[in-house]
Amino acid sequence: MEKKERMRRERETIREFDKALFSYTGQVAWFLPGLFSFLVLVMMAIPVQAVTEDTGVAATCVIMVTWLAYFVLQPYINVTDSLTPRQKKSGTWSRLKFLPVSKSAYRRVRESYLLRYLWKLVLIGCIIQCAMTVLDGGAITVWNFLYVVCMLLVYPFCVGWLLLLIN
Amino acid sequence: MTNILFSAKEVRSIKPRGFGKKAFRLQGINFALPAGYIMGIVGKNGAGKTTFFDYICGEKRKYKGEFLLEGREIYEDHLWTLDRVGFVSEKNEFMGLRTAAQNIQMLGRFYSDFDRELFENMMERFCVSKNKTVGKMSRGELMKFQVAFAAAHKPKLFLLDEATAGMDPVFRQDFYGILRDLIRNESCSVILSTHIEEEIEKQLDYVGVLEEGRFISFGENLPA
Repeated sequence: MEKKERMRRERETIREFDKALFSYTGQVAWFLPGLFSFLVLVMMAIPVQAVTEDTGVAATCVIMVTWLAYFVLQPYINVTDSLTPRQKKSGTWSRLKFLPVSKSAYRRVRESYLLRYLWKLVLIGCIIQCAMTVLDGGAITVWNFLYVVCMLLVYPFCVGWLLLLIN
Repeated sequence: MTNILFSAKEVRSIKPRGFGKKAFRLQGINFALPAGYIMGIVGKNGAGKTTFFDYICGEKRKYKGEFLLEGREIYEDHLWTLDRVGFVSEKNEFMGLRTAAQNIQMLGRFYSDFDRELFENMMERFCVSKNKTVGKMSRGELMKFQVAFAAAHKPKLFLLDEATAGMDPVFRQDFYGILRDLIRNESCSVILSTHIEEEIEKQLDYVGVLEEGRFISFGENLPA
């Protein structure tokens, strides 16, 4: 019980730290995830039945989603930290590694940010996918939902997980 | 009875760094440091001084044997340990574009007992402005800032990895005075690494000599 409470407090402290960090590193933090979210959602307008006939669409979507996951996490895992005009980036964790904060809590908090972002995207993606399938004269099947969930939740979450692992 | 604050028992590396004859490993680290004293670790470059600090503060346990802080193995609960250790080193990174005060506001929150007022007093004593951007500080100023940051969370053990190297000789004297003030109530101790002979002779209570990863001697620093 005490351990759980301590972990909860630890995550709370990391979130407070992130609020301050985000205002510091957030120059392009909103723009790039927004741009890639828009592009990915446009791709979601192609019904899964059409995607299976053209793998190029799926491949393009995978690349976009990879960048999306990267840009959503970017403000939390890197700190712009140079006084020279060519701004150098280095990891946020390198600032925290000698402080009383565990890497697992640090990662979990960032995973939760990514998950929160992706859930919203999945909901919008599902609506777009279903609407376009119906407009295209097709029938909505479980594959429409599975495609959106895999493309906008499972895959980008795995990318984010890997990013956090190597950072 | 002496109150042992920090001790090492048969500490040795799990994995050597490098291969063959050049493989480096820390071994035979044994000492006991009572509360209220300054211990120095001396040795040539590459003797293992920074590795020693890394073993205490690093994320993963890289040694066999025991490091005991207040009788508790430091990796039994490493967050508990880091809350009680004030680590000052060139390896420490801060938010370079923010001021010292802003760094404190961001990073101080992770400690259970962070005293902002104490930090400000220390910075004043060190003659470094809390409004100076950390990235623009000289090496000496950065070390002073780090010492103030470390002191503000009231650690039991200060670990200073060549902290005095960038300080001017006049301030270095004052610096030891400040360290003595910090440990005066005997609730904490200091372990530092240094190359400066004058410091070794005059300022240290205990000296451990590291040579190729081994503690070849450890004992009280008696005047010659």
